[in-house]
Amino acid sequence: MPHPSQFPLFDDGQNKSLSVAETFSREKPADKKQAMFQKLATQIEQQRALLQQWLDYRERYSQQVNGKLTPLQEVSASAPS
Amino acid sequence: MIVELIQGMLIEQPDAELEAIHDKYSQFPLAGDRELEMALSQEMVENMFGVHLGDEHGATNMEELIEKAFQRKEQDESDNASRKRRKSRKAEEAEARREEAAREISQSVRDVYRKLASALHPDRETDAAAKQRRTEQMQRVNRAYESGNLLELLNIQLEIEQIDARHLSSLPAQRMAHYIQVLREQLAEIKAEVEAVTAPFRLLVPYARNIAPHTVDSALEEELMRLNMELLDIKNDLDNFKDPAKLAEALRNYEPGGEMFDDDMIAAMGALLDGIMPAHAGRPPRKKRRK
Repeated sequence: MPHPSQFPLFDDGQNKSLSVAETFSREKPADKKQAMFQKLATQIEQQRALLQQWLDYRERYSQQVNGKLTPLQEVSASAPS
Repeated sequence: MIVELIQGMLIEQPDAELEAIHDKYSQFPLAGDRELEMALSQEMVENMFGVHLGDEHGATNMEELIEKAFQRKEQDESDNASRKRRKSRKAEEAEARREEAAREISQSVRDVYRKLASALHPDRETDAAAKQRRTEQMQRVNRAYESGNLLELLNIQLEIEQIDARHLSSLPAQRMAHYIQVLREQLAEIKAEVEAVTAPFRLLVPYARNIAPHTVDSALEEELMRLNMELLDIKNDLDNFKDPAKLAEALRNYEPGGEMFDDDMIAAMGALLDGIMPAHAGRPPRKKRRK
């Protein structure tokens, strides 16, 4: 951890991560079109987060199935009935 | 008699005086007859030509009626053709308007891209680290532009401070309308992607109204637990069958028709038991008493 005096004096913009939906929603919409823009931007970011959540989960689920469920199913199938 | 004679003469040659004499002696005046005849003729001609002549056609005989009907049909056909041309012109105009709107929308996104490309072009940077950073940002810009991701382009504009929170207020109304259209399309696409990813999971938990990863996890946990229990039962059975006394007990408790063993299985078990416990030979397994 660098000493505060070692931090750059000016923000070089490297670590910024700004979102249109969040930034624009700080401003009160002047008309219906602005309100619609803000609403759509927010919905898109929510849906994108949801999509990412499911993509991550799909990966985890696949690991669970390959690591736990499939071996159990194979043992169960080969067991005497 | 007089009436019939006059009617015969009038067919050959119309005559006003004869008509007056006819009307004097007949209970049906000739003018009424003609009106009725014209009405019937008009109906027939209208059906024949598929037109409607109305009451003001002005025809006084069959030939004139046919001529009027022919003229009306030509007029109707001309009107229809003209309407179709107008309609087709309208459709072409609507299509042209749609194409123009799509071009303008595309132009709006391209303008954002150009501004970003102009600001982030790596060749304009001399410092190696900054050049690398700009290259990465430019790659992001290109990816966003290629996928029509307006929101990401605006995010980058925000990050490099090309725009700020008040940007929306400064946008012309038409540009804002274009942005809204692009965002609508983007939202529809991303919703379709979410649907495609979640569809296989919905099959796993068809009873869940709102599917979420934790609902799928619960279903998976239940399935794992069920399989584990099933395997534990099998293991217990196998352990029990190693002990002849426990096997005999299991067979004594067997109920025919139960789910556990079929008849072949019980016969095989009986034979197995005979081998292990000769004293048991010949005795069929006792049925469990029903309580």
